[in-house]
Amino acid sequence: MSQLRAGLRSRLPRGPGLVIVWLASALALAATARSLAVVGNLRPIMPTVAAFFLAIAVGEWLRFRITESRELAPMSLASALAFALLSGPLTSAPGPSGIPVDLVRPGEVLSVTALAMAVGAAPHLARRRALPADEIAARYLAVAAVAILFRGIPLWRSRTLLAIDAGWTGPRWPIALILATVSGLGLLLYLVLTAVVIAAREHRELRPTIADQIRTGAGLGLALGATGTLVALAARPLGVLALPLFLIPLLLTQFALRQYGAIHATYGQTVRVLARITDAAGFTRAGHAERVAALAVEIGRDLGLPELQTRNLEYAALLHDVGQVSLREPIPAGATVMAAPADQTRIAMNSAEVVRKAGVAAEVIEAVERQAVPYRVVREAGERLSVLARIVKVANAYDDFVGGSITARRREAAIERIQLGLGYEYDPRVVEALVRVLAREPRSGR
Amino acid sequence: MSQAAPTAGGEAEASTRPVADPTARRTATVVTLTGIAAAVGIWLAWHLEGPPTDLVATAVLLVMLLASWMVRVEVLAKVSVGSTSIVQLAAFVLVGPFGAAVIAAVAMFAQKSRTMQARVFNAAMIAILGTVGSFTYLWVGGARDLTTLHGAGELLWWVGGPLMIANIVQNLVNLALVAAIVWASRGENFWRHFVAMLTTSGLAQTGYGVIGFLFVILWVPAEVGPLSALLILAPLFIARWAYLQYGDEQRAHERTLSALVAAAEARDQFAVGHSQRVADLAQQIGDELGMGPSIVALRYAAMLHDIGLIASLPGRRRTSAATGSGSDPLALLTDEQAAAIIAHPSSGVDLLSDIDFLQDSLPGIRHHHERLDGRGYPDRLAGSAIPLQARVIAVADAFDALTHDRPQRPALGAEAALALLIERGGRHLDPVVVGALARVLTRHPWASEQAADPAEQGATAAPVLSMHDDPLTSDALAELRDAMEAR
Repeated sequence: MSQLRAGLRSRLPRGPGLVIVWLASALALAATARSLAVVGNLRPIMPTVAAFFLAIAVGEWLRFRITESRELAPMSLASALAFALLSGPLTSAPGPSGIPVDLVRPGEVLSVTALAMAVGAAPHLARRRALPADEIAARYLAVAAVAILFRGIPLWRSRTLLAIDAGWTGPRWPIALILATVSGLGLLLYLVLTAVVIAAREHRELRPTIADQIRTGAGLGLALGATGTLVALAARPLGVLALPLFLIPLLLTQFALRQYGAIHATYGQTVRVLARITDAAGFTRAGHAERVAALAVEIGRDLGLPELQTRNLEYAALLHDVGQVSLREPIPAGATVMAAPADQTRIAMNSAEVVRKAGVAAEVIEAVERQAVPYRVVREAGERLSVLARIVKVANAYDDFVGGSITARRREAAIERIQLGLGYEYDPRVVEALVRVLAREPRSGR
Repeated sequence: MSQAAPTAGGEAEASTRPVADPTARRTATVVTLTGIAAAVGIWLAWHLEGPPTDLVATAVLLVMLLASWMVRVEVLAKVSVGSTSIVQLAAFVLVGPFGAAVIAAVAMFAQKSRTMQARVFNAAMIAILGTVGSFTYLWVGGARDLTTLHGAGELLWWVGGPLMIANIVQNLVNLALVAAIVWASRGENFWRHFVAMLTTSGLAQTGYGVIGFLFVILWVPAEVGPLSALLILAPLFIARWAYLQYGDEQRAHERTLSALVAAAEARDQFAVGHSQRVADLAQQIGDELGMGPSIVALRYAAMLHDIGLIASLPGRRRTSAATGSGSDPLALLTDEQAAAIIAHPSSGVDLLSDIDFLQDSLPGIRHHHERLDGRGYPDRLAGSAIPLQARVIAVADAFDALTHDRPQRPALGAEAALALLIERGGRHLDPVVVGALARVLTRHPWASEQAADPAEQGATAAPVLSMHDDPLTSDALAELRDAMEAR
């Protein structure tokens, strides 16, 4: 138990992520405390509530990793959204009369969702898997916002959207539009909150991270919003049966995304092994590629590169020396920064040759190929040199100059040597970012 | 029609080039008969049920059918998820037999196919499916007017059930027509093709049935109307997008793996292409032995079996190996090189141990130089203690080595190499696996390769890398190790 608690504590996020977690927890506790008093009222619609509870819990349990830093739980979010937007006859009795819509107030949605999410997260906790509390909290707050907006706030002539929905006669496509809009707003909030969490966790700038999240998350958000809306709309004729039926198309999406996440992780592992073969063959100092990659990624984030580009930067940095494997004789300690410019260029070309075969993005190939190009070509010849290539050059030079030493003096000397080449060899903006990154935390081995 | 998978087959291959006369005539007959059947079906639909009353629905469904290629997703190798089925099922209920047949035919005819004949066939086929499915729905009691139904029970009974039956019937007709055109144009066995398509697409088709039902429910009883089209397609569209991304990423990954192998082979010209050939051969032997799903792991293990060589002969400690053509491999190996060779299977495992999907392949990589008599390396396993994966790779590896030039000797012919392996069965190699190799070789001819100019190959960085997989080297190493331990 104490182990469990220690595990929890170490996984708790810091900064804005922690604020989001506290906010969600406070909301959940308050809602649950209030709902306990009225739990008897829910009895007539218990089967419906139980079905949504189950769907949210199972969806939360089935969450999966899509990239190194992100987890998704589409079924949980879609089910919870649908629950928040529910207005149909919640009993299976035929006819539109006697709809007990008022029974499910925002508080009830919030407490049921909170309990279900906790139940779904429990198996993961029990197996001591990392629990991204901040991401779960972001999901929860999005659902809470939708529930309050739809059921709690009198938006139009002192009537809530729910009351408008319940009293609507005639074709229901305007209702469909309202539901889609509300769930769209909720999902937008979800994306913004996850961006806040990620920006805090990975030292990124907030604005580009939000833009990034919206760009990459819009697709899934669309599917989630549509599913939540569909279930809420179809619950009128179909009752609670609408929930499992409409989750089927989403299941397909989840399956695809899971496979994508799996292959994404595998790809990353294979690239790492490819990067390691120069170490294994004794051409480079052990761990050089991985240190350069880690440093390059931090510089890239500091400069506000979007996520996809950061990933390409990581691959380019990992693979920047892979061409050394075809050298006849290794260069001293594999440090390309000490090699003659012509040799540097040749290694870059060799590496690019290998990387080209590896089917990575064109951006990666270009960065590897032009990693040795000095920054002055940009200023003097007006050539274009990708920011990825400039970052790899600086990160590589730093690691080569430090030469595996961990003393502060050696690190300062390395920065000094890089600053000697400022504007001539190295891009000043990238070097500034390097200095900021290094100042942020004392790093061992650098 | 509807069906994604079968239609894909029908669309792409049906019709097409008139290779031989009888096939062309057969194809023309099948296409003509299908066209006539479609015309009769449409006439009947008009005569019995009349034109669709809901023109808005007709127009929306037609647009959806025209755009359906946009949401087609390959789920598995041959099973794709398209919206065509879903829209067509909705059409049975919303626009009736005549409407269902005509909009489907129009949409299908508008899609590009390789030949006019294919377009006509596909349009006629989908029209038949429209009338057959639609009439089935009505005949088994499907509701014409959904507004009179109340509650989930009634909707399931009067709409869901009939739609499912209609879905099954039209699917069977679809598969039969596709199997017929494939038989006519390519001479494939009708039943075998029919059953194969049924087993691969059956589950997906059931899924379409459910989504088609939901579409209808949303449109009429939930009173959302044409807007349902957008809502129902959004999740499918995202699924398609996710699958496309998955496919891209997977292809990129395959290429990275090849690059990894290529980088490891780059230092030795004799080794170039070896890993890929061993992987292909090991897979064929695995098929022959009926290894089932574990073949995937076998293939990866075979592809990466020598990856440890890169670490075993470090660049900075590399000694210039002899490149002469002596017949005794032992004479060419220094002790240091022998030690490096003995270390390479475990070096490979160390290098790859972080890759999750290769976990099942590691035993094959580690033990591919074990011998049945227990004199192999690195662990001196004997007999059945050696994983089957490793025994298969050992045979494929030795066979490919023998049939290609090595620094110490020119390539052997396939027959001579096989004879040598058979002779080593039981002592070095698993005779059962060698037997499987012999059967594979009767079906797939093997090209043994001798370089045009062996002198040119002498200039390789580390020829010792490619010497190690010769069966004679295995004997030499075994003797060397015995001798070292005796000392």
